[in-house]
This record gives sequence, structure tokens and C-alpha cells, in this order.
Amino acid sequence: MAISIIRTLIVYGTIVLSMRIMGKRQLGDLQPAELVVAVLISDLAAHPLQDIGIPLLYGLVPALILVCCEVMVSAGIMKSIRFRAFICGKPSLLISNGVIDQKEMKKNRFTIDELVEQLRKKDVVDIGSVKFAVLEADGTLSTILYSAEAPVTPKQLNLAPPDQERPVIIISDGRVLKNNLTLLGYNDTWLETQLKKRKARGPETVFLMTADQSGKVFFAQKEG
Amino acid sequence: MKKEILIFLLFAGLITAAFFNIRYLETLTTDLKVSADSAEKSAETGDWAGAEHHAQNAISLWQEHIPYTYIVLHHGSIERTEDVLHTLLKEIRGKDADVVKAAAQETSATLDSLLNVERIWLGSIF
Repeated sequence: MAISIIRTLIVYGTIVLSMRIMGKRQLGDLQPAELVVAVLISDLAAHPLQDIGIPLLYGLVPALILVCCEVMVSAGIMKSIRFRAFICGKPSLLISNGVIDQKEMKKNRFTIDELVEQLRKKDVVDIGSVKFAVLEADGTLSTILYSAEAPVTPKQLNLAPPDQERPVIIISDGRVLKNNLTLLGYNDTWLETQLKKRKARGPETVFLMTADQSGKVFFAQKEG
Repeated sequence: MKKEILIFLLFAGLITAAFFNIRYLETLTTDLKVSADSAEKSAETGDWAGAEHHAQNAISLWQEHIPYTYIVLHHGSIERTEDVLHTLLKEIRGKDADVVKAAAQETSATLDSLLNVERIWLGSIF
């Protein structure tokens, strides 16, 4: 029993570290090779946990080797375009200038139902409004609509709205994140003023407070 | 790039460790087989004290390496090897040369299979 607990903790630590080394992608955004590695690691690591007659190394070594391969392949992908195309695949143009490329669809084993479904997910109901549709290497569909069908942008209306600044968390569940405060160029006095303005007794009574460089503040008081 | 270099070094380290492990097990199983063969030869000539001495040596040698083997080998294989070594000793104490010969051969086969699992050859890969 104790062995299982210790092994589980070791495997847990190793997998968390491995995932951290491999990067921050979401599961849905994984490239084919990354998905294979993620699935294999979880399966490999489980065996020594289920059977303590198997040395822990039998699970850890293959997992580490997979992480090494993954990082080295990623480095290769960054260096060589050909290698990138070989490992990740190339995007395919499924709709070009409004014309569905049936050959390309067949090549990617992408049915018309899937194409329509993917377009609907992007709020495109009329396939005729799509100028280009690209099946990306990770399996997602990107679309470019005809200008007449695309949403109007402020630029087209000759408007110049101010750019959105990146909001940063200043208080998270009662704790002041000093680094973020400094990052925005604010100090404790500014924070006190902001809290007083919102009638907060102190940071510990704040659930969430964000701010950006333009001075825009979002404030949410703790409940209860 | 620093991360990639470290990962490459880790990869190279793991490969080196794998080869070290094969070499380590080769040496260990060869030494054990030599002791088992010596025990068998001594038993054939009726030197039962010598045979027992060789078998004891094999058991001691195996036990010395137990901590390492538990890290790199299936625990079932370790117990099976320990069993055949003790069986060899038991048969030597029974003083029947034919039975000792069979026990020594079983020991040798068990040690071979132990190494074959780790050694790089088509059979162990596939």
C-alpha cells in the first residue's frame, strides 16, 4: 500500500513535470505527435502503479524518452520547414475563391457534412459566403468570408476606437499580487485610493480586482 | 535552446544508462552461470563440499545485487532466479549428481532468459 502511494506521488510529479516541459497547449490544440505522446505517457505511467511487481523505471523511462523525443522533435520543427511539414502536416485549402476543392476534401477524408458542421460552428450558415476555408494541420477549420459578408470593422467605418489594454489581476481572492501592481506602474497608495473609492475595507474583502494601463479597473467584492 | 540541450543530454544519459544496465546484467549473469557450472562440475566429480561452496557463492553474489535488480528487473523474474539458485543448493545437499545437473541447467536457462529480455536483439524488441 505504502509503495503504491509513493509510486503514485513519483509518477504524478514526473507527469506534471513532463507536461510542463512539453509546453502549454490545450488538448484540442495538440499536433498529432503531441497527442500521441500525451496519450502514451498517461498509459505507460499507469502500469507500474497497478502492478508493484513491475519496476517503476519501466513506466518512468519510456515516459521520459517520449518527453525527450517530443522536445527534440519540437526543436526540429522550429529549425526546419520541411521537417515541420512532415511531422505536423500542411494546411489544406478546402474552399478556394468560393469553390469547394473536392479532390482536397477526398484527400483529407473530410465529408461535406463535416465541412458544413465546421462552418456552422463558426456561425457561417451560407457556404456561398465563404471565400476561403482552410483545414489547419491540427484539424480545425479557418474561414475567410467574402468582404460583402464579413462583419464591418471600425476601420471600414473610419472610426478609431482606443486599443484594448491587457487587464492584469491586482487582487485575487483577497491577496494582492504585488508583481502585477508594479508591472502596471502602480503602487500601494494607488491601490488604497482605488479600494477607498469602492468602499472596500481592505484587499482581504476583495474577490477580484483587475486593472490595465489605461487605468480601467474591474472590481468584485467578496460575498458574505 | 538551453531546455533542448538539457533534454538531449537527458536522452543521451538514458541511452547510456540502458547500455550500462545491459553490461551490468551481462556481467552478473555470466558470473552466476560460472558459479552454477562450477557447482555442477564439482558435483559430477563427487566434490559435494566444493559444489555447495560454489552454489553458496552464487546465492551471495545474487543477493549482493538485489537492490539494483529490483530497480531494473521484473520482480517476478528476480524471485524466480532466487528460487532456482536455492533449488540448486538444495539438490547439491541431496547429493544426486543427475538432479544437480538438471538444477544447474535450469539455473543457466533462467539466467539466460533474464538477460535476453534486456539484451538488444530482434526477439526482445518485437
